[in-house]
Amino acid sequence: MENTTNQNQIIPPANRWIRRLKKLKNNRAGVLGLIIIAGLIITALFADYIAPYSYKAQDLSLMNIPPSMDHIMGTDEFGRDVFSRIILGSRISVYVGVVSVGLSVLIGSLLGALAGYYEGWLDRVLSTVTDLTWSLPEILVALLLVAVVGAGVECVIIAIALTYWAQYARLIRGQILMLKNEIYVEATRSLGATDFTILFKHLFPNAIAPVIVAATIGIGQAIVLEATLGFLGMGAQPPLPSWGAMMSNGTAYLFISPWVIIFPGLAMMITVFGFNLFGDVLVDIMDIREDTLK
Amino acid sequence: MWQFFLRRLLLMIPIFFVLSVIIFSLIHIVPGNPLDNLMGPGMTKAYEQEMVKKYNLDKPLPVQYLKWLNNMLHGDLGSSIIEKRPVTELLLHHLPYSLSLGLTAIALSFVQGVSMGIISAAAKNTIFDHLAMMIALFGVTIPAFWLGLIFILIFAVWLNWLPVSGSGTLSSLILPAVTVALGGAGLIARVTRVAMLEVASKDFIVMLHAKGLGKKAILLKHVLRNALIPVITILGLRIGWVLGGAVTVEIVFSRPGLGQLLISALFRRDYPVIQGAMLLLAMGIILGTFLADMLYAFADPRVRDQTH
Amino acid sequence: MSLLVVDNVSVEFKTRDGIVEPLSGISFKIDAGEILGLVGETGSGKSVTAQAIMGLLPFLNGRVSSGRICFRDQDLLAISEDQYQKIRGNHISLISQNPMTSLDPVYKVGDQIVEGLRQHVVIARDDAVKRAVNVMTSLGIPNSEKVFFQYPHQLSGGLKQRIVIAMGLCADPHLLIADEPTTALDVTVQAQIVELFRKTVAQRNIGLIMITHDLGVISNLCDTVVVMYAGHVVEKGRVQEVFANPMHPYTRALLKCIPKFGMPERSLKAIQGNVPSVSTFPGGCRYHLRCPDMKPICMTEAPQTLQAGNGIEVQCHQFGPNWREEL
Ligand SMILES: Nc1ncnc2c1ncn2[C@@H]1O[C@H](COP(=O)(O)OP(=O)(O)O)[C@@H](O)[C@H]1O
Ligand SMILES: [Mg+2]
Repeated sequence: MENTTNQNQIIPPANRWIRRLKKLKNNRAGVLGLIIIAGLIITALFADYIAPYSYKAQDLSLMNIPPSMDHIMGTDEFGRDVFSRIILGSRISVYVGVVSVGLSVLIGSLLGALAGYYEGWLDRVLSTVTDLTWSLPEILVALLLVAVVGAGVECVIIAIALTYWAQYARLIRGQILMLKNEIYVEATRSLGATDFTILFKHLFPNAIAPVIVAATIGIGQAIVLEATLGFLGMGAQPPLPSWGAMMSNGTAYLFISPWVIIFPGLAMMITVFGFNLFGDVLVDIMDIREDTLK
Repeated sequence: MWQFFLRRLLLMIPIFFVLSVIIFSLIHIVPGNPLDNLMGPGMTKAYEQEMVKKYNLDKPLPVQYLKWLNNMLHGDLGSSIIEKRPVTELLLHHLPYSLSLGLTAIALSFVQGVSMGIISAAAKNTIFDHLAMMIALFGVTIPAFWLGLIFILIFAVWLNWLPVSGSGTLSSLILPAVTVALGGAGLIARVTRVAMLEVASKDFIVMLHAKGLGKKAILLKHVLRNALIPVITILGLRIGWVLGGAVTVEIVFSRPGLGQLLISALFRRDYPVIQGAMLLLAMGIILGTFLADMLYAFADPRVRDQTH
Repeated sequence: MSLLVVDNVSVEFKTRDGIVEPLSGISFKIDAGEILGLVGETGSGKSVTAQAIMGLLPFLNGRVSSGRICFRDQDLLAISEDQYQKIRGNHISLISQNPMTSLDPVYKVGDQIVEGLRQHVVIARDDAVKRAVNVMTSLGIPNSEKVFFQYPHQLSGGLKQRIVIAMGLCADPHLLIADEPTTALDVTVQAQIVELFRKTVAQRNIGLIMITHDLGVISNLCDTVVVMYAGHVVEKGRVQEVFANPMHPYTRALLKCIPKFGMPERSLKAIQGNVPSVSTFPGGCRYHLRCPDMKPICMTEAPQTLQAGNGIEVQCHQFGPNWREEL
C-alpha cells in the first residue's frame, strides 16, 4: 500500500517532533484524547480543591440519595458524596497507571535495547521470557502477588510492571535491530562513538516512538486493572477512595443506588477511552506501521 | 507438520516447569510456617507428623517440589484448610462453570470480532467502519466487571429478561459470556481490520482480480483467509485475557467457577486451594496457547514447514 | 478489425505525495495472431500499460485519465466492473511480472490455477485438474502432479514463474499479456517457453503482448515492437524494420546493448543513467537528459509522433520540421 513508512529516513529528532505536533493539531480525535488525559491529570493534582465535599464525610441522613443538585452523582450507603469520591479516586488511578507503566517502560526499554543491540544469548533469553510473560494474564499475576504480600496498591503496581515490560522490550528490540543496520550507525562509529553513545544517543531516540504509543494505551489498561483488583477487594485499601473499591462496595446496593456503580465506571471508561484515542492517533502522527505494534 | 507439533509440545514443558515452581514456592514465600499454610493452625501433634511426612517438609526444597509434583500428577493437590475437602474435588466441581464460560466467550468474541472486522475493512472509511471501530474501542476500554454490573442492571432488573445470576440454566450463561466476549471481540475486530487491509494491498490480490474473480470471492476466500492468520496469533496470545476476564465476571454474576473459588480462597488464605486453582488456570492458558499454535499452523502452510 | 487498440491513453495514480502520471498518451494496436513486443527499461511504464488493459488500475489507486482502450471493438473503459470480470482472465489474461508475490501463500498452486479456469469455464473439477497438470507439464515443470499440490513457499522462483504462466495459459484467451515472463528461468527453459508462446499464438490465432527487456526475444519472437520510455511510446514498427534501421536515439542505444554473437557478456554496454521517476519526468522530450543528440528544442518542446516511410512511427525532433543541425 501507499502508506509505507518513512520513519526510517534520517530526520533530526527535533524536526520530527515539530512535524508530529503539527499533525496532532489537525487531528480531532487526538485533541479529544489529549484533553481527556490532561483533564484527568489536573483532576488528580487539584482533587482537594475540585471536590465539593469531603470524600470521607459520612452523613447517615443522606444515605443512597439519587443524583440531585446538591449531590450531582448521588451519595453512597454511608451518605458520602459520590462525585467527590470519584474526584479523589482519580489520584490512585493516575498514580498506579503512571508509576506502573513508567516502571515497565524503564525496565522493558533498557533490556530490549540491550538485546536488540548486542543480540546473542541476551536476546534469546529475553525473547523467551517475553513470550512467557506475554501470555500470562496480569490479573492472575496480581492475584498471585496478593497471595504473597497481601492486598494493596503496591501489589497492583508490581504486577503490572512485571507483566507489561515484556511488550515494551519486544518493541524496542525490533526497532533497534532494524535501525542499527542503517548506514549512519556505521558512520557514527567510524567517528569514534562508543556503543553507549550510539545506543542511547542515536538509536534510542529513534526507536522509542512505538513504545510511547504502547505505553499510552498501557496506562489506560493499568487503570482498568487497578480498578478490577479494587473491585475484587485487593487494590487500594479503605479509607482511600479508589474507583474499583467504590464499585465493589456499591454492588451490594446495585438495585437501590446504581449510581454508586455507574458513575465511577463511566469515569474510568472515559479515562481509558482517552488514552486509547490518543494512542491510536499517535500511531498515525508518528508514522508507525501498525504491524510493528503487534 | 509433525515436527512443528512436537516442537510446540516440547516447548510447553519448560513453561509448565517454571509455573509449577512458582506456584509450589507460594507456601514458602508467604509469611508464616509452611505447615500452617498448608493445614491451618491448631493441629494435633500426630496429624502434624503425618503431614510433615506426606509433604516431606523435613526434606530439602527440591525433594519437596518433586514429591509435590508427583502427587499433583497423580491428582493429589492436598486438602482445603477451610472446607476440609480434597482440592481436586473442589476444582472438578468448579471447573465446568469456568470452562463453559471461557469457551463460549472465546467463540463469541471470535465470531463477533471477525464479523465486525470484515465489515470495517470492506467498508473502509465509511460510517459502518467508524461505527464498528467505535464499538470495538468501547469493547476494549470498558472493564468487564463494570459491563457485567450494567448488564445485570439493564437486562435482569429493569427489563427482567434473564436470570440475574447463578449457574443452572443456559440463559444464565448468556450475560456473563457476552460480558467476557466484548473485550476480546473489540481486540479481534481491530486486528482483523488491520490485517485485512494489509492483505488487500498485496500483489496477489491484484492478480486475483486479473483472473476475473469477483470482489466477494476475493474478500472471503483470499483476503479473510490470509487475515485470519494474525487474528489466530492474537487469539492465542490473549487466551489468558479471556480467562482473567472470566475470573472477575464470575464474581459479578455469582457463578461458582474457578474465579470464585480462587478469590474466596485468597481471602481465607486457603493456600492449597489457591495453589490448585492457580495451577489449573495456568494449565488452561498453556493448553489454550498450544491449541492456538496448532490452529495457526493449520491456517498458515508456511508455519508448518518452519524448521525452527 | 484490430484485436486491441490502445489509443492515446494516459494513466494517473493517486499516491501519498499527490497524483502521478506514469503513462502519457500512448497508442498502439495488435491483431489476432500477432506478437507485439513491448520494450523499455524498468520504470518506463510497461507494467502499468498491462494493468490499464486488464482494468486493474482501480484496485491500485489508479485510473485511465484519458484515451480509449478497445478490445474487439468493445470500449473497455465504458463497461461495468461486472462485465470486465467476465473478460479478465477469460478473454484477456495476464502473466504477472512478479511470480514471487503473485500467488496466494495459503492455497496450493494447482488450486490457484484451477480457480481461475473454473471461474469462467463450466468444467468438472477433475477435468480442470487434468488440464492444469497438462499445461504445467508443457511448461517443463517436472512432476507436475506433485507440484500441483504444493504451496507457493515450497517452490523455487523458476517454478513459481511457470505456475504464473500456467495460470495465464490455462484460460484460453484471445489476448495474452506476458509481463517479463521468463526473468527467473534459465536459458533452456526460457527458450522452451518462448517456443510454447509461439506455438500457442499460431495454433489458437490469439494476440500476444510480450513485455520484456530481452531484445533477443523480441527479434526472435515478435512481429511488431513498441519502444517505451518514461511513459511515452518513442518508437514502434515492424521488428525487422526497427531493428534494421532504428530511428529514435533511445532505440539505437537499446540495440547497442544486445550482446552480439561471440561477444563476451561483460562488454554489454548499458545506457548511462536511469529512467527518471514519475514525479521527476523532465519537460520537453523526456529522453533529452540522456540523449547524445540533444538540441535546445528537446528541452522545451515535446516531440510529435511522426510517420517514417517504412511504417515506423517515431517521437523525436530529429525527424521533425524544426530540426536544424547547426542549432
Ligand atoms: N500503483 C502505483 N502507484 C504509483 N506509481 C506507480 C504504481 N505502479 C507503477 N507506478 C510508477 O509507474 C512507473 C512505471 O512503472 P512500471 O509500469 O512498473 O514500469 P516497468 O514495468 O516498465 O518497469 C514507475 O515509475 C512506477 O513507480
Ligand atoms: Mg514492469
